[in-house]
Amino acid sequence: MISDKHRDYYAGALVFLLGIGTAVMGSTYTVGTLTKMGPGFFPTALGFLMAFMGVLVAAANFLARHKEAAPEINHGGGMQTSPDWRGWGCIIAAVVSFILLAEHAGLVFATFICVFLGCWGDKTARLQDSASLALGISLFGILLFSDILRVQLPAYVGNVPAEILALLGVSLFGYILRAEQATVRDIVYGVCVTAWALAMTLLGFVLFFFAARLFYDLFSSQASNVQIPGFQDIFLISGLLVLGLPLFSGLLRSGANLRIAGPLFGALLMAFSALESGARSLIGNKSQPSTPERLQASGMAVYGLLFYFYVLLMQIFIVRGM
Amino acid sequence: MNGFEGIYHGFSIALEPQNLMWCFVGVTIGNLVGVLPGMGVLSAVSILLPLTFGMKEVPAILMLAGIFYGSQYGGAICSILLNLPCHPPHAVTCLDGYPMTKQGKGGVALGITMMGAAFGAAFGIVQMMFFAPYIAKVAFQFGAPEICSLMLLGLLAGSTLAKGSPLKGVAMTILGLLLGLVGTDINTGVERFTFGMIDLSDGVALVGLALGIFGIAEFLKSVNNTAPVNTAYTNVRMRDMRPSKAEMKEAVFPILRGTLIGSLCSCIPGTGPTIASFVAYAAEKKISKTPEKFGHGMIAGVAAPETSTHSSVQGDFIPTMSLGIPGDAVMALLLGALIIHGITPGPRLIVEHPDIFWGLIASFWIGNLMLIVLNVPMIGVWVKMLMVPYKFLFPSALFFICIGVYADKNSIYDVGVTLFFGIFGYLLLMLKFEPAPILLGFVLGPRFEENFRRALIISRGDMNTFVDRWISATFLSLCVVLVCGQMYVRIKDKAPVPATIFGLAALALVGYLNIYVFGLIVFGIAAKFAIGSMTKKPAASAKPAETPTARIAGE
Repeated sequence: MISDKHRDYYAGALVFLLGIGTAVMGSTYTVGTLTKMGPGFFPTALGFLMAFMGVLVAAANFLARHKEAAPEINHGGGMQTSPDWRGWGCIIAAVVSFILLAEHAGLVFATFICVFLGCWGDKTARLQDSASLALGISLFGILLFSDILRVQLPAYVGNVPAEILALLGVSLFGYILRAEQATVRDIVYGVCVTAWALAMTLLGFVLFFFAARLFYDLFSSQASNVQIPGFQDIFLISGLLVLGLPLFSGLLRSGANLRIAGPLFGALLMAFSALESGARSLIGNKSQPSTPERLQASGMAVYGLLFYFYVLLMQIFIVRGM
Repeated sequence: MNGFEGIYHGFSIALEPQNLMWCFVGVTIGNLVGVLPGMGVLSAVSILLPLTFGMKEVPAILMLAGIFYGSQYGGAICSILLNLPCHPPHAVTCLDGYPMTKQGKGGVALGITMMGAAFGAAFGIVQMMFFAPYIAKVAFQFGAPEICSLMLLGLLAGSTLAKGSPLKGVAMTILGLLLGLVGTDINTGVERFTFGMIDLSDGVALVGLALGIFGIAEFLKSVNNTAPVNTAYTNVRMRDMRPSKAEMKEAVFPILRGTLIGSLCSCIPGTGPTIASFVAYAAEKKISKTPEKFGHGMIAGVAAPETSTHSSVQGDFIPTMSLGIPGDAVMALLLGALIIHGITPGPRLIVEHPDIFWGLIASFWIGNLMLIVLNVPMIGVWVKMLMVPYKFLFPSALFFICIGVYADKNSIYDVGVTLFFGIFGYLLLMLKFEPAPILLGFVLGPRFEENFRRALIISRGDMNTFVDRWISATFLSLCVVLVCGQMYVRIKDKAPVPATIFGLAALALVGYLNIYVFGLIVFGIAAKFAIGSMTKKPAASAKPAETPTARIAGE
């Protein structure tokens, strides 16, 4: 958008103005002397130095020879060649909407608008892409940030039941995966896959926990203070993984294999119910320490292996096309 | 605690279940970020930074470090199979990696990359194990002037040796230093550059700044501007990765040379993995008997740069952990994380927090092992990840940025700050500035000012304190050598003669006029020294350190 020849004049001017501005502002604080430096000394000195650098940048450009550079191959790393108002506008609007809405309209709504607008900035995004991604992320976001990490933002404002929003999200997510074509058999199959995934992750957890404890005892002179994680925690995290990974791998859409849609849909439903119950039981138990602490104290190493097992499973069942 | 005791202690820390878990999470996310075209290490580290505030410091550091070295594994996949140099250290791998892929040997290239990675990383870790405590021991003697000079050297090296124009790099560093000053002055309690806003009196949030200039600015740049992914060659399975015996033979010596170059590069502050990989590729091309075959799928052209990347990534941690001087922006973020957790980085870190230092080293071993396990049998999964469309990636990341910045201090104001720096960062990108030095300056800024003021209080305002003491004088003269070296290269290669003379004259003038300003004094020395060397012979820039400093001291 800016020619190579003139770019560095603008760059130099920007640096110069910033420097001068800083120096002028800095000199309004007490500057002091070298022996007794005031708070204004350092900023003023740096400001002048920066202004000088601005002059140098512009001067170097004035004296440099400009060869006819070969057009750069754009690997997605270069700058835009023409203004992209849609992309810029949507991204900025997305953040602004989050700022305006988060505290007043609740996390779910703010997330939805933010992701929807952001996605809409991409020229290839269709309406259903934006909508389903926004619903998926707001669902994921509320589970992770509101239920587990307890961010200090209201999840909802008003009387919108969580379940309705969540179900809406899940079903629209199914739509993006073309789940309307999934048969009952596919859904049953999906439930089986999910159950299998949960069983395997639990097994992995047990095995890994004992291995980790063995190592810990081997190396540490102190008595082991590792506690066994509560079943709820495991269930919660497994559920999150089961929910999160299909969300992600579903977005791959690489195989264009419609048959994965059913199992994924089933996995989502199942995981959501698991999560809901897990989250609810956690919220109900106010006497216990907060969830992050509990998750930490209970040796979260295990979840690493859960993740590993789960990725393995996804590979077996999804990447290789069922 | 010597090396062996230390590493034993380190393993007992790193094998604690929760540390192991976070290390695993870090390397997995790193690998993922490396694979995904359009996601950078810096934005990933800064997105996850707020999540670590609730954690203990050891797992937090292990995880953030894991993202950094994990992404190096993933970046190779992206370069070799897709010809997308989206991660700077791997840009040079495209030259020979992609031709190999087109010949159907993409799997072999990846296999050799993994071998080289394992070897290079192992060497880098051993180097860190033995070097870092030694360097820290030397650094115990540093007083305020030495720390100041060392920081100056680190900042200069970080801003001028990285890619892009050195002048603009220095300007960005100064901008970073100034941004670090925003907020309440610790010595006097005066609020500086807050524009009357209460939210700014604590200073600019590190997370907000980093996510603005590396997250939102990147999205503004890349939206609707990413090349479509060519998936013609992305069918790689584990069994394709095994190289034949002849190919192994061809790769062994490049791997060894790459390791050496990488570890040497990591010793110089400011030269990260990117420079190491370019140097290794150039060296390999020079040594080779068939240099014309480079660019058409030479194994050496993949093995050497990849290995040097990994060995220098591990070595990069040495100055950060032993001196508290970050070499690049990722290290600056890690240092920022340490400071947020209430740990003062510097030479005392190894002694006062052996858990962090030795735990980190042990976690490097474990993490690299995990990465090999993650990458070799599961290459199919990562290859599939290459196909996530950008339109799904960046809106999700936008949301994570917003909520991450908010959760940092529960302040929606910081999200606004992030947006501001995002737009400002895009403006800088448009003017071809490299934003990474901003972060270097930002993290070091407050410490730099503090030490500068302390040094001058101790010396009663005498600037000679910086050139009086030999360690400090050495650092300053290294700065001079650095600046002169840069100028010499410019004179030789590109810039016409008038430009150089103008530059030198201006520097000399400024050096004489503003002898009281510390930053300018260095440029003064630089100019004097450069003019002196130009009248005799250009190679004189490597002269002993005493000459310029003694001259200043004499004034």
